Amino acid sequence: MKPISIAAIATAMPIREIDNEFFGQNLKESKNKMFMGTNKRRHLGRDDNASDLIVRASKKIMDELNLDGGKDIDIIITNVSIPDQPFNGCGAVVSEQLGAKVKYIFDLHNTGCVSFIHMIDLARALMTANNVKTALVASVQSAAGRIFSQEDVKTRPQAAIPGDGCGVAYLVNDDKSPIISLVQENYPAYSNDMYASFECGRKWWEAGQSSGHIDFNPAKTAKITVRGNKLVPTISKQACKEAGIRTEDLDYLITNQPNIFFLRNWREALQLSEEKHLHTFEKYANLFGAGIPVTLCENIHNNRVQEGDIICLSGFSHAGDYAAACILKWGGQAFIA
Amino acid sequence: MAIINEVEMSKIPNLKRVEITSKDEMGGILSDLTHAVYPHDELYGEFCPVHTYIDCPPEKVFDYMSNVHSLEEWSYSVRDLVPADNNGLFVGKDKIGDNTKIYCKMVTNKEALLVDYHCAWDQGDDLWMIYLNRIVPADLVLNKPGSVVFWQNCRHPHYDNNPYKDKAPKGRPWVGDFWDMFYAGHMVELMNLKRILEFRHAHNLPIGPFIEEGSV
Repeated sequence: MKPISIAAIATAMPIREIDNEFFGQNLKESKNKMFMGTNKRRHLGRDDNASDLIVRASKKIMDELNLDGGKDIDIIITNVSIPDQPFNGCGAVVSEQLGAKVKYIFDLHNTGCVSFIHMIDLARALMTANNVKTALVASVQSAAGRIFSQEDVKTRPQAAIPGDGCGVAYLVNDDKSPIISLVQENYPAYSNDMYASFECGRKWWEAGQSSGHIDFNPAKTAKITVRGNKLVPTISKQACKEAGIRTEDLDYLITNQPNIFFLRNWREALQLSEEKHLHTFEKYANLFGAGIPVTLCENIHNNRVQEGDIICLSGFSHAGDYAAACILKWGGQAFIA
Repeated sequence: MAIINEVEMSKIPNLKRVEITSKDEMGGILSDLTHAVYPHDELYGEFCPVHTYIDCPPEKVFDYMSNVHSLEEWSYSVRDLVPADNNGLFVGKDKIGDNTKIYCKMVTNKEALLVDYHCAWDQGDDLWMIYLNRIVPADLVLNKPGSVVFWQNCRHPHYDNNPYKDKAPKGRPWVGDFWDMFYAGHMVELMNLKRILEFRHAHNLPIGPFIEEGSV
């Protein structure tokens, strides 16, 4: 495969900052450590679109690299957790607003928290096989404002954990900031352990009395925890092995950020110090698929990640149905936080 | 001196004994088996051992643990045990599940300091959830007064597949779904046991369990 690089990465966060007060007494009185550790998060407003965030972040990249939308973007790939429209994806909306003339648009709806890596893999395959040179990949988490801010949902103990945000990367066919290795696994047996849940029993497309939220199978919570604990270190090690490096050679680890325990357990399992495990959980909460690119971008921006650093991006999605990891050698290119 | 028949031993493959495995080779085998970290399911997938030191004499620990009502003090959620028959079977509530009955029978050996709890949810005919406890005088193993308690649990196949589904309250999660949390749950309970026994021993109190008068 041709080497591909992250030529630039940018974020766009919703303006609305939500503190813990928003979730009321239940959160304050909750003694469950599982739902602690976040101080703030962003929420997408009712009239905000995920596509707006993608456009905002993409324009930062286009300005920084002086890109011409009409010829410098060949592929747009998006993943939005709770889409703007249930029927058609937002990739075409993004393309229109960027004035792009692209060869392919994909709006993906799986691989949640590892969608960024999944999209890089897809872009790499297309860029290798179809002689296209560039791709814009965008991961947006929108479930916090759209689901967990609703009156009958926000008092649930887990409502404070999701946060909204968007990360966009511009991929090119060169080896300046290369993806050295990338591995993906899927575990279909776990695909039914997470779902939309409605108190009133309605289907998601039906009218009803309850807003609904995203839930895990309660009988599987212990299994999902142990699954998650194992999946991420395992796939991270696999990516390191494929890259021909040892985990101790990593300068940084960036994972998805579901809660403080997973973060702790993953770095413990990989024997990496807290300083080497970058995340933005306290400030942005669980950004689902946007977590990895947002954390990467912020840490390039604040000079923590330096040219030449070897970084492992990894995570698992939903209740463990997908896991992915890649090794990136950061080449010191453009970044726009 | 008894002489081991090496011919007989050589019939069993893959043994590591000094006669056939050199110390040099053994060194490599041990290094290979020694990891810096171990996945949770490798340590606790099939067996769940927990253990602790308790600053309380072994006889007192035995007396306490072999009283079935002690479970109502040191377990997280086993409560309201009453006799279910005349053969030492008790039934109570496991408050971790909604409407969940737990059946329990003690199997003890004072000389060996063994206290085993043979239990099951929902029915008392097949007591398959077996908690094995061995109390060891700490002066033997740690050269100090007190006790060491080893608590073992094995992953009986029923944890993964409840054969008595018809007896289970509707919608209640199955105990075995939480096997992966057993290490944590048992450790929390073992710490309860340690705190109760150390408190009562340190304050020269009766060891308990403290049962309300006239309640049993």
